[in-house]
Amino acid sequence: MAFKLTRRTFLQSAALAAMSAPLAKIAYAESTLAPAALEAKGTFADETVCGGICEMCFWRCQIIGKKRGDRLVKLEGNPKSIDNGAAICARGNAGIQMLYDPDRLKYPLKNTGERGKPVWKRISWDEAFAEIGEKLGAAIKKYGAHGLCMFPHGASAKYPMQFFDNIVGTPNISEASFFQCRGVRDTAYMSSTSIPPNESVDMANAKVIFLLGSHLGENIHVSHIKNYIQGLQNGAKLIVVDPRYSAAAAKSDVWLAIKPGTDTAFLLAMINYLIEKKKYQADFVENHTAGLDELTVGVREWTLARAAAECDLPAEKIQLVADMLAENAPNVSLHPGRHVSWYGNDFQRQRALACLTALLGAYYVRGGWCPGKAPKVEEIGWAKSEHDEKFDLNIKEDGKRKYPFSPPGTPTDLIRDTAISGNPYPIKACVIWGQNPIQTIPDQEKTKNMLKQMDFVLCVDIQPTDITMWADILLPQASYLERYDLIKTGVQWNLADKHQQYIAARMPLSPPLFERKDQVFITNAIAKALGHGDKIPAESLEQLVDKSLAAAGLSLSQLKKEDGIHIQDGKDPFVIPEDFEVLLFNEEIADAGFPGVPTYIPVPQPPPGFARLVYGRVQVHTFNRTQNNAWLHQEMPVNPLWINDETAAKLGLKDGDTVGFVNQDGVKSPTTTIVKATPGIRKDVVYMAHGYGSKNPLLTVGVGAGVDDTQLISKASVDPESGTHGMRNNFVQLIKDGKTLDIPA
Amino acid sequence: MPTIKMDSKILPILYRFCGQALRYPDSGWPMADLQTRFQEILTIVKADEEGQELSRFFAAEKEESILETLQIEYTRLFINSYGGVVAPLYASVYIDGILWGAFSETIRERYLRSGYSPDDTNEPPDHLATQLEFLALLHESGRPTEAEQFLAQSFRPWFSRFYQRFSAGNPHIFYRVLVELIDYLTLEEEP
Ligand code: SF4
Repeated sequence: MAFKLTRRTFLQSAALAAMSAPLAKIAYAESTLAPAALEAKGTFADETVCGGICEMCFWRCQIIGKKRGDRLVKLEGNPKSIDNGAAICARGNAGIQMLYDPDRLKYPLKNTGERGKPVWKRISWDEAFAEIGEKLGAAIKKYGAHGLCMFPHGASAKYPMQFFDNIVGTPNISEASFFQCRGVRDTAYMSSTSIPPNESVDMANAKVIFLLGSHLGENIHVSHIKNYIQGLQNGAKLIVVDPRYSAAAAKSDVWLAIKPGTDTAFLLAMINYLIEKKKYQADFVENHTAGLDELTVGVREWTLARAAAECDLPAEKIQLVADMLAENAPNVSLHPGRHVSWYGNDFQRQRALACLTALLGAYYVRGGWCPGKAPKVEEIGWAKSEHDEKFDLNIKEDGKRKYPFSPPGTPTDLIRDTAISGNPYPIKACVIWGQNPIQTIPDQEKTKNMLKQMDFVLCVDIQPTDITMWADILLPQASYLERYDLIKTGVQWNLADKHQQYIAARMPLSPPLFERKDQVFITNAIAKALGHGDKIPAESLEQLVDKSLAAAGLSLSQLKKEDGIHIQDGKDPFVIPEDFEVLLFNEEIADAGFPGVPTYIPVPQPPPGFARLVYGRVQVHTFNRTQNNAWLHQEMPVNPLWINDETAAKLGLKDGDTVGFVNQDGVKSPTTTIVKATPGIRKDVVYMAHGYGSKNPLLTVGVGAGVDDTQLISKASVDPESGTHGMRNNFVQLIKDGKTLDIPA
Repeated sequence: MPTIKMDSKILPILYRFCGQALRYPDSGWPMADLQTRFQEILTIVKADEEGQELSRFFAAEKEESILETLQIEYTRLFINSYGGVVAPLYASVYIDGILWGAFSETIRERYLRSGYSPDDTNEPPDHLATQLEFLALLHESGRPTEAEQFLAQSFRPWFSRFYQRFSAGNPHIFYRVLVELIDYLTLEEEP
């Protein structure tokens, strides 16, 4: 204590008494407590608030909140839901911890230090918008709209993305959910069936469920998992193709520990077998497909024996799976997958899966691929506009597209490479909204170099993820529990049940804390700062949602009366549209210079001493989005390294040992994780969960916990048809006590 | 029981004064007045070294950069910082490990039982400045025993942890003096 007077003496001192008037001048300037009616202890009644929609992951279960006073104390599934019902997963429960995480962003911040090593200063929203208007405005004026790029993610980024796309007019927008996740699935199916497949497989009513590298059971999406488990309960046979004995493999009837990267060869062999043996659904193929002849020729080389050698699987097992599928067709669920940007040969694999599903006639049938018929609401947003193709990086000089089957937006590397080289034009401003490109996009150094050369970087997020360290201005967004948003529509989770439809709009379960704001508030203010205030489509998020609901004859107030979910009669989904057609051979793909029938392209193999790094999910985390959630962290603080037990023994490693990594490019993991030695993984692969090892010390729980797999994915393979990233062609060695260990073949 | 001098009229003013000094230093913040008062207080308590350090800080820089230094320091200490926020100003962070935890609700109930309610629902009720204001209100309305109970049962248990974390974070002289003053004014005094 530096104060050398007792407090009593201090308080009684004449000098202090003489200061009382000037002290009081300051002391009464502002107050936060107001007189209120006296309340006895324990009079807070618990209250239930409806209308929540979870976004701890993208599945968007409908939830309710239990409140005590102003504090949200518990989240539960909305018992009225015909989707997730009263159930939510562990992450959904931990939404409370997200809401009240002390590390979350609270006020607009300005970086007074350097990018990557920020020194933050709280600023007002007005100051933030003034600076954004000035800096973004200057970049757009100097370099054109295409001088700005955007990396958006999630429901809250849709409105701002439309603004930057349609109104500002930049084509340089890259969404991780497309280019590093499911985009290649969607474009491959679009090129086969004309419809993006989502995860619309009626597993609950299937006779066989077929999973290719899936994490079902390790990724919990409540109604999807209910669907899957119902199928297993009903006696569906489960086939799992995975180099790892995954949660699904543990429940399987047949597990094929396939050599990574060879899945397409495996699928083609089954296609060939079904065609040769005439075991396909002839009626369906006759009425709803085109190109069987070309397919027949195209896959002829893929005998069971050849695939067996290529995939390191017994030929009989491939045949067994093909027979199981054929015998139970058409009621078979071939799951299209979700995160499928694996090897850079993914478009062709997803095409093969779509074509195999067609041979089995498993579209629009019980137990097959079948989207429920969901109700429609109107999409209200910024007016659409066309871009000047001249600035579209995906268009070559000859006018053709570099990646003709790219998902919407611009392939990530076209943006990064252009920004770094300045060729064909400079990209000098960057808006990152709800995405963490450091931990989602391979080759972190490239992302950092892109950011370093920017004139201005704006980040909007709910928490200080790794990318936010690179912002000049960092804005705090209201989380899904604090804002209106997104209308979720769908049907009852089990298609065999009474046909019903639902409409639910997100409503806040808590007011936004501190100075957090929603995406409409933030985007509209940016629009005004950039001189586009006259084009604003809705003054508030609440108004935007209300306008969309009006198309379905609903309103937020009506939804509130209906406990957050409107339910109406549905339609029979098991009716195949007359014009539904699957292109087994796609001429457009062939014309663009790619194989028109599904084709296997071999992938690089691990160099001696290395194993392939494969990553995945865990039940208690949604990647880096939840890594700072103390409740979830408690459940699984690090991401153990799965390594074959015999390999581990040869390396002298045992369960619980601590290891780090170095990859084929010499990139070292700055952190370590623990070993899980198991017979349940092939010797040429190691595996860990994605989304650990954050570098941002602002995330006081997640920082340095486990290993960041994305850092080790320094080599990104690019899928030639779609421009999406393949991220599983990276190879690692282990580091133990400072020594690099060669992994035996 | 050791007590602070309950009949002091100056005590609630000091609590409130500290609460105002804990506000984010924006352009409307009474910087010059705060500086003068702090210097005077430091003179009275004979904290000469701190007094000199504080006056060196205020003398060395222009008003604008003084304000910016304090803003950056406030953000680092209490809001968000690369390297980890030093010590958030909310009690439940130290008791429950979370913002707006059960302890925040206990504090809020405590306010309500004495006839006060926080008027900002966007801000958790257990902010250090709000608790100081509550202590002031109890004194001003002639309830020193209640103030004493609140200090012992609710305030000190978390504040002492806050104080430790804060002190370990290499705080700027301005905030060091402020937090030390709060500690001084709320610590049980030996008889
Ligand atoms: S699956 Fe879990 S995290 Fe995802 S929306 Fe549902 S409750 Fe939330």
